[in-house]
Amino acid sequence: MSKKVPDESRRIRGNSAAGDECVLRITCKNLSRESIALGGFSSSSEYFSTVKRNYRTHLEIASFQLEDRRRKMRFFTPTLWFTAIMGSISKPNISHPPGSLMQSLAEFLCSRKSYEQVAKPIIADLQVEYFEALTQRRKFKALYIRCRYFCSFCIALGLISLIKKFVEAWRKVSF
Amino acid sequence: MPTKVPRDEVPTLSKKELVIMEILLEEPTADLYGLELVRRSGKRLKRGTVYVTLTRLEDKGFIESREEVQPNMPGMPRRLYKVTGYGRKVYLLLRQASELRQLASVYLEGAI
Repeated sequence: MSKKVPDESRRIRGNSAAGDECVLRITCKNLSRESIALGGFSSSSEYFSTVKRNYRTHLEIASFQLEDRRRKMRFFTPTLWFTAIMGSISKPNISHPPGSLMQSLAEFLCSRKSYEQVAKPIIADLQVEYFEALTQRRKFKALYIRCRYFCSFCIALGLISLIKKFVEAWRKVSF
Repeated sequence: MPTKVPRDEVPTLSKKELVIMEILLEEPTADLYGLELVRRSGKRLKRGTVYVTLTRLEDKGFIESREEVQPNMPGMPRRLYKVTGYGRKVYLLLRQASELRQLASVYLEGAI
């Protein structure tokens, strides 16, 4: 039997960039965390970054409104619904670091010494170069680095020669 | 723990090993990692082969390695390499031997 989770409402008090005190009230289906970061929100992007930090998915936010001393603002609502729909389409994105496949392959195929002295430094270098490319916002270069290091990894562990031998043996068997 | 070559055997260095030793001896006090070696070599070393060569050099006892300790760095720790005293001596002796060989060949050609 599913337990009904009551709606909860939280208020966040903070100062806007102009110095006015704002109150952001968020009504949630289920608050995943007890504490909500307090702070001023000068823009919608800042608000969303705070909300993303505090909630697992966008769908947990059912409704919200930003209260000002002078007027109530409801202009965020379309943006909220858009993010809610996008949140429902895209699942929570937990990505593995680059080189995790290579690491698991090396752990399975290599001896401890080869893993420590050959595979591990290659993966470490890959991660350094990859993150350097990402900080420069060069996504294609990062992708290229991943491909290049996978080739280097195969060469270093002799996987390419192994594949060649397998292909040769397959040809001999098939003809 | 590196397994060292028995001292009664004549130590040898291949071309790639020589390049690595040369780069490492440019800055004997600094520890370098594989990617840095590849960058400094000017396309003489490749990413796929550098670590295999480094492992071979370490087995011979010419270089030693350690893992980089940086708690704030993301990702896996990199491996840093440094030339040992034995490695430096071998490199210098082999360089002298090759120079002597060149001189001897020039001398012999002149004599003939």
